[in-house]
This record gives sequence, C-alpha cells and structure tokens, in this order.
Amino acid sequence: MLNLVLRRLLTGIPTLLLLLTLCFFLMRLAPGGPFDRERSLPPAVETALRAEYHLDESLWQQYRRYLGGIAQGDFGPSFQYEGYRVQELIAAGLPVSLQLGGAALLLALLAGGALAVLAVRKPGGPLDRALMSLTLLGICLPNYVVAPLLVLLFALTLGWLPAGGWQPGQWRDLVLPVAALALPQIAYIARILRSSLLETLAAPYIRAARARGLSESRVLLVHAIKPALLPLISYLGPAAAALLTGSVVIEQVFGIPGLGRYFVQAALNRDYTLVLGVVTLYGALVLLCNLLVDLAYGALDPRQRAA
Amino acid sequence: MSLLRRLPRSAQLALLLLMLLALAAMLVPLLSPYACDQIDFGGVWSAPPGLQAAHWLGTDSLGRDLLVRGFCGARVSLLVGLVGTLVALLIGVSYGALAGYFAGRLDALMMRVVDVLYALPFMFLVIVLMALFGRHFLLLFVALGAVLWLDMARLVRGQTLALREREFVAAARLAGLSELQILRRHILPNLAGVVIVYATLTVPQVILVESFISFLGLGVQEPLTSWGVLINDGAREMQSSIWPLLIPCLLLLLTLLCLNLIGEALRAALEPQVRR
Repeated sequence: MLNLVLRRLLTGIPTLLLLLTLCFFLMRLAPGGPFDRERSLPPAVETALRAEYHLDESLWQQYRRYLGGIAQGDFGPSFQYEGYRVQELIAAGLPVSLQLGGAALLLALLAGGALAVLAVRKPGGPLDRALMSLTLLGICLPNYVVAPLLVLLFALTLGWLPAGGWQPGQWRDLVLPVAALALPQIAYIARILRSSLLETLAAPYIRAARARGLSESRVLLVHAIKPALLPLISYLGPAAAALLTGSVVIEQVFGIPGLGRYFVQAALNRDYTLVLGVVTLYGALVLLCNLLVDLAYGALDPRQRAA
Repeated sequence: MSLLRRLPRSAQLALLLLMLLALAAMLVPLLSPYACDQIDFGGVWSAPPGLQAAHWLGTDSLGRDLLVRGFCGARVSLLVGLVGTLVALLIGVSYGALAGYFAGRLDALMMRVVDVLYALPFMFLVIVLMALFGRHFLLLFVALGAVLWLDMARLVRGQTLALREREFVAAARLAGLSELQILRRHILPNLAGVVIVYATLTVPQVILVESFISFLGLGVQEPLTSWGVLINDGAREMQSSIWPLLIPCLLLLLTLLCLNLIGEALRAALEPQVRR
C-alpha cells in the first residue's frame, strides 16, 4: 500500500508538470495580455508594469522563474487582484469550494445509495422502474439546468430559500447549491450501484446466505454491498472531477465566492498566474481522488492489493 | 432494420421523437416568418403560449421568437453533438485499434499516454482554451473531441486485444493478408457493435459539454445560438418570464433522454453479455 502511494506520488509530479507546462504555453500563445484595457495605458506605465511582473523576459525565463517559485510554494502574484499572491486567493476560495463539493458528494452518496437499495428489492418491479426512469431524467438534467430551475422554484416562487449569496455558517445558503450540484450525481450513483448490486445478488454465495435463512436486508447490506461497491468506487474518481467542474457553474449561478467563480473570470482577464494556480490545484485534487479510489479498492478487494 | 425491430418500444419511440426534433430543427426556422435573431419590437414579452398569437411560445426580452430560437439552438447543439462525436470516434477508434492490435510495448506506451491524459482535468483546459482563443466554432469541436476520445480509445483497445487472439484473425494471417488489411477488414467490422453503442452514448455527452461551455459564455457566439446560450439567457431573465428558460431546458432534456434511451437499448441488443 505504501508502495502504491509512493508510486502514485512519483508519477503524479510529472503529470502535474505536464499540465502546468501545457497550460503555461497555451496561455502565452493566446492573443491579448493582462494589461489590455479599454483605454490603453501610457507606454511608460505599461513598460513598468510588464517589468514588475517579469513579462518583459523571454518566455523560457518566465517559465523557469514560475517553476522556481512553485518549488518554494509561491504561485506568483495575481494580475487581476493587485497585491495578492495566488496562493492567498486560493486559500480564501478553496475552503468554500471544498465545503460545497464535500456536502454535495456526501448527499449524492447517501441518496444515491438509498435509491439503489430501494430499487433492487424488487428488480423490474414498479418501484424499480419508477426509480430508474427518474434517475435517467436526473442524468439528462445537468447542474446548470437544475440550478436555475431550483432557484426559480424555491427562491423566486416559493421564497423558502435565498437565491444566492454565501455567509459563513448560514446553512440556508448551502441548500440550493448543494442540491443542484448533487442531483445529477445522485442519479449516476443510483444507477451504477443498482446494476452492480443486481450482478452481485446473482452470485452463488448470496444464494448460500439466503439459504442459511438470513434476512433480506442483512443479505443486501452486509453480504452484497461490499463487492457491489467496487464499480461505484471507480466511478467516484471521475465524479470528484465532475463535482469540481460543476462547482464552476454553481458558484457562478449562486454567487458563491469559491475557486470556480475566480476561474472563468481569471481566464477571460488573462490572469495567467491565477489560472495556472487553479488548474494545478484541480489537477492535484483529481490525482488525489484517483489515488484514494485505488486505496479504497485495495481495502475492499484483497485480490487487488498485490497490483 | 431487424435491429430496429429488436429494440424495445420505448427506444423506437425515442428514435422517432429524435428524428422529429431534428426535422423541426431544420424546418421551423425556415418556415417561420421570424429569423433566429430577428427582433419584433411589437412582440416583446408577448405572453405564451397561444396559437393565435403572433409568437406561439412568446418572445424573449429582446422580442425574439422563442420557438424559432429554441430550434435554431437545436441546429447548433445537434450538429455539435454529431460532429464532436465523429471527431472523438475517429481519434478513439484508430488509436485504440492500433494499440490493441499491435499490443506489446507499443500498446503499453500508447495506453500510458492515455492514462496520463486521463488524470488531467480536461474541462478546465477546455475552459482556458475557449476563454483565451475566443469562441471559434472549429476550436470547440477540436476541444470536445480531444476530451472525449479517451474513453473510446480504452474501450476499443480492450475489444481489439480480445479479437486479435481469435481464430479468424489467425486464418486471415495464414491467408497472407497484411497487418493493415487484417485490421481494416477483420478487426474494425467486429468493433462496430461496441462503437455504435458507445457513439450513441457519446452524442449526449458532447451536447452536454457544449452547452456547459456555452452556458459559461465561452462557447457559441451570436448570431449563432445553442441550448447552452439560451439556458444562460433564460436564467438571467427568469424573474420576468420563465419561458425563455423552460423551452431550451425542455428541448435539451428531451434530446438527451431520447439519446440515452436509444443508447441503452442498443447496448442491450448488441452486447448480449450485459443484457439482463
């Protein structure tokens, strides 16, 4: 296990470096710069600004300077938010995004799991069919559709919850964004877990457990669930990535001061360092999620441990 | 045709609906007296729905006909879905088939590349790309294809690995066919089932990604429009009127639902091992 962690960390670094390099040069290839304004700056000011941010150096020099900074934990100054380092901006936005994503993931797992367990009690029965139609609908409703519809219903029409905004400790602010982020995931998780549960329930050892007279819920929740979790767990790596991208939209719709909201704006404003910082962070998060998935796989299925 | 008859009723219905939708996307903007971006100053906020009204489903805040705009968006979204899938298909199948057929060291190397690419948060790269280089239609296709070919490559490679051990491949080799001939005449046709199923399920994904990017304001640009753009516009106006939001949402939902139903049904019909 330690071996796996070490190997993943070692391969993770070049992957992140590749991502960083790709992004760095892509951004510099693009037309426009961080100091383009509607009214152009006086040449002297622009030259001074460019020198201040080292934009007057060659690309290669800038790239080396940037990597050198990262090695020391410094992601450079933001172009858009004067006087802030990128890591300060990330430190402000990340906890908000993590809270949102974590709550959504938890909700999706609980609700999706419950739906799947309900559905397999009578496969092909009316409840199963209704739930599967419902989850198919859920898959077809991306979160940027769900979010405005939820706002329309619960905030504007019924007035139960706020339409947006974010104050620490206000759970009411959290309800709609988390629901919008989680709903499509609930549908995916329910469908995946249902089909893997059905597959597991057909295994001989389940028949043996039933023959021993164990109750149906014990068979389902103790004997069948563990192997059935494996496909779900391998889905959770990409799901984490989906939650992260989803939060870009959700944070925009609900005006939540997380990382995602910075991101699009930063790319549009050519805030090179901020975009790079956020992309790198997302890349690291995805790699971390994949590692956790593999660890969980090993924990659940001893046959996977050797690999 | 026999395949069509083997599909369940729901999938046949979905196929019919989808064809109607595509037909409407072609015809509605042509036959309507209003163009996609034509502004009717008299019709601003005319209340929907009503067949007697000048605008059957009303207009948006600028006085543009919602029905026509919904189907103009359908044109772009459906087209992007098809072309994006084609790009992903082309790259994914050729890459996967090559890796799987030649196996060994080449396969290991090629799949290693896929693994690394998998670990990248591609959606973010796409967002960066679209934000930086402006909203090129072509770029959108390239970006979408680049994101979605990975799954296809993995799938095809797995299938090909299994196929290359089969007797008919050995027979073809004994008959003196070159590697490329075997690949083209014997491997690729046998991949068709898997590829068709997966392609059907990729179309809704591409449509989703496109509308996601357009929703962020980074995709298709005026005067062109897509469902993502319309949903974004509608969400901004929803306090005054819900129709500009609901109509593109419903069209998107309907399309995705149909495509998913067809894809699932095809999978059940063409891949008997997962049939249940």
